[in-house]
Amino acid sequence: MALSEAGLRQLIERIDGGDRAAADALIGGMRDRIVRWALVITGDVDDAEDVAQRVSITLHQRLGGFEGRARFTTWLYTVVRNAALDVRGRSRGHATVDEDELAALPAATEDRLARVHDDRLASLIRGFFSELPPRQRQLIELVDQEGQTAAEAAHALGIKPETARVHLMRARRALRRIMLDRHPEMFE
Amino acid sequence: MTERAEVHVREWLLGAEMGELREPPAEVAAHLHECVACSSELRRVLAGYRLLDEGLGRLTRRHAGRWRWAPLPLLAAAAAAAFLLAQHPERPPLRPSPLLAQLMFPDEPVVTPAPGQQAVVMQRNDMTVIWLTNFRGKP
Repeated sequence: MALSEAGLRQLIERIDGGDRAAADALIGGMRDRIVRWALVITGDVDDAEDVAQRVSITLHQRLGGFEGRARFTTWLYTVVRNAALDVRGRSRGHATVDEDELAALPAATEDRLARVHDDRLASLIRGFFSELPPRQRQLIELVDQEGQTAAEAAHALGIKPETARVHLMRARRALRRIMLDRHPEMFE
Repeated sequence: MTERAEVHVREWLLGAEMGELREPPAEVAAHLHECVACSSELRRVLAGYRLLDEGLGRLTRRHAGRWRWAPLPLLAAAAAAAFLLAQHPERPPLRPSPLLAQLMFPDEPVVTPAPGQQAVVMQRNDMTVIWLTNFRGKP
C-alpha cells in the first residue's frame, strides 16, 4: 500500500493521539519503501532487512522525533540512511554472490529456483551499483527512479543542491557506462 | 549522419535527465531516428533502468515479506487484558494462553506482550527475533 504525504500526516496525527493501529498502519505502509531504500544504500539484501527491522523499532520508539517541519518521507529517509550506514559499516567486507557457484546449484525445487534467480538479480544489481559510492546510488534512486528533483534529494541527503547535481551527473555516467559496456546481452 | 553528431548524442545519452531520455529533444531525436547504433544504446540504457527498478522492487517485496508483525489477534488480546485489568484491578490480568495461540497460529511464534508493550516478530530463514517495546505516541 503506497501512502501519500497527506495520508501519512493523518496517520501521524492519529498516532499523536495514542492510536496504536495508526502506528502499525504507518510502518506497514512504508515497509516496502524502507527496504528498498536500505537495499540501495547497503547493496545487500540481508543488510537491508536488518536496516528495515531497526527502522521499524526506531519508529515505534521515536516517532515523536518527527516535528513536522519537513516532509515525513524526507525525515524517514534520514532515519533509514543513518541505520543503513551503521549496518553497512558493521558488515563491510561481506562475501558476494559468485555467479559460477549459483549456476552449479541443483535445481531441486521451484522455491530454490526462485531463490537462485533472485540471487542472480541481486548480483546483477550489485554489479550495476558496484562502482558507485552510496551517495551516488541514493541520488540515482531518489531522482532517476523515484522522480524527485535534485533539490529534494539534496535535502533528504543533507547536502547542497549543487553538490547533489555534481554527484548525480557522475552517478549517471558511471551507471550508464556499466549498463552499456558490461551487460549488453541483457538488453538486446 | 555525421561522426560529430554521433559523438554528441553518445555524450548526451550518458548525462541526460530521465524525462529527456524518454522524450529526447528534437535535434537528438532526429539523429536517433537515423542512427541504429545510437537508438540501440538509448534502448539499452532505458532497459537497464527498468531492470534496476523491477529488480529492486522484486527483492524488496521478497525481503519485506520475510519480516512480520506480531499476530494482530495476540496484540488485541493483550489490549483486552490491559482494559479488563484497568476495569477490575483486584483481579489478576487476563492473558491469552500461549498454548491456545500456538494451536491457532501453528506457524507463528507465540508472543504475549505485557499490557502497554508491543511485540515485533522478525523471522529469517535461520532465526526468529522478538522485540518487546513500550509503545508510546508522540509526547
